[in-house]
Amino acid sequence: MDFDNIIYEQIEAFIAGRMSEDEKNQFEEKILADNDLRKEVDLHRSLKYAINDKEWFLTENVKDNDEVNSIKKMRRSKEYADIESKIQKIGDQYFENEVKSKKNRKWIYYVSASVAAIFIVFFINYYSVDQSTSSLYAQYSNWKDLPSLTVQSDSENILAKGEHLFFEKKYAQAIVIFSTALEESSGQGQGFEPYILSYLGAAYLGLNDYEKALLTFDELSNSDTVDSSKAYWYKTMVYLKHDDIQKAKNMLNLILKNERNFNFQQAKELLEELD
Amino acid sequence: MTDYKLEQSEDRFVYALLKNDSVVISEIYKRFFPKALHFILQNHGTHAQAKDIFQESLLYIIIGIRERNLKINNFEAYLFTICKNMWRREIEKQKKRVIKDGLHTLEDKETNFASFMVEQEHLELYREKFNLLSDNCKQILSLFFNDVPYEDIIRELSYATINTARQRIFKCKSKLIKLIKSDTKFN
Repeated sequence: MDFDNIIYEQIEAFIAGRMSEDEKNQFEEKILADNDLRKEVDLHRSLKYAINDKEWFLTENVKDNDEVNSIKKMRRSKEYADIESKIQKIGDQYFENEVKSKKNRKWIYYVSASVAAIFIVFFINYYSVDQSTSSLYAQYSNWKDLPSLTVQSDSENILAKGEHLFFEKKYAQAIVIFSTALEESSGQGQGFEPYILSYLGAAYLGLNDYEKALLTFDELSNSDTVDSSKAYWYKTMVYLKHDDIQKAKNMLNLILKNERNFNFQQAKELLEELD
Repeated sequence: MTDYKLEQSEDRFVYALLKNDSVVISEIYKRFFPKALHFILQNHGTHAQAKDIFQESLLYIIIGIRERNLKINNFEAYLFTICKNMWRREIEKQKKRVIKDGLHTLEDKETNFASFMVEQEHLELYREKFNLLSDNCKQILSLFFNDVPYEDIIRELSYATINTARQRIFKCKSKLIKLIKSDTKFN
């Protein structure tokens, strides 16, 4: 049905809220009495939402709408109920796998972070300038079964490459890879950060860049994850390599404040040795 | 469902949905769910809500193509649009719930789906007709529908007075409404 321009002007004013209270009430009464006019107003209103892509226009009187009723009937039919449950079933599998793979990733970085810790111990063992501390660490580097890193390379090739470079002592190149990976993973909640930070810190330590190594491990301790307490142990290693016994002891004391902290037992022993 | 329609849907994702192919459907989840999830989380939704919306959107595409003559050019873009619009609608309903409007809040899942489908089809029709307008009309209506004040509209499009701009908007809008009404899809 077509309306004249006067009605269009009124609809326009009504929607824009440019009517006086009296005009508005009158017009609302008119809408109630005239179904075609109501549809016209609805059309004008919903046009706005179709174009501006912000809000949504909800249709009124859904119960009397034949089209809505026929779609509803179709949607309820056995045919589509079956399809729906199939889609949901496939979805359930997907969401289940999602949860599993998240758990896997957690396990992977837990293992990998330990590997980094192990490596630092080896590292200090062999390269420490101080021979007496070097022999001291021999006791703590009794790590016979190094977990295989192939698990990691399957899921994250870039990180595996970083680890490879790290073990080849190409620290500068490893740092580039881990820094980039860290930037990319930030905010994505993949849970790789603690793992990347462990390696990154260890790589800085490899270059004797104590300051950056400490900053990186600080970030790990702020990461609010199960691995954050590992940062204390790693920092202990940095201070030891730097031959700063006092600061190393301070770190060990921090670890000893909570039994659940990483390497609690070793920290206790090491502190006794240093004293 | 005729094979003709299947051939028309070149997209393998669309094809898989229509054929109920579990392998490709699970690939659809893998590839496209994260984006929908991201959008819904950003707009105050939950993971569970994102899951519902995503599944309803897949069903929307199936029913749309099979029963409502829907044609899709780009599966990924279209799926995301449907997820987005379903969520926009949900937000609108939540707003109404706040002002205690029982009409929309008590809808069951199927009514919800059907109302959305009718609204979405209208929206697509409106947009299709909008794109047939002259560039000038599209420009001024876009500003108008986005609540840009008349003062800014006349400055941006160099109209002499607010009244001339208002007349122009009126003409463009009338033209758009005429186009919409003359389409058989509009009843």
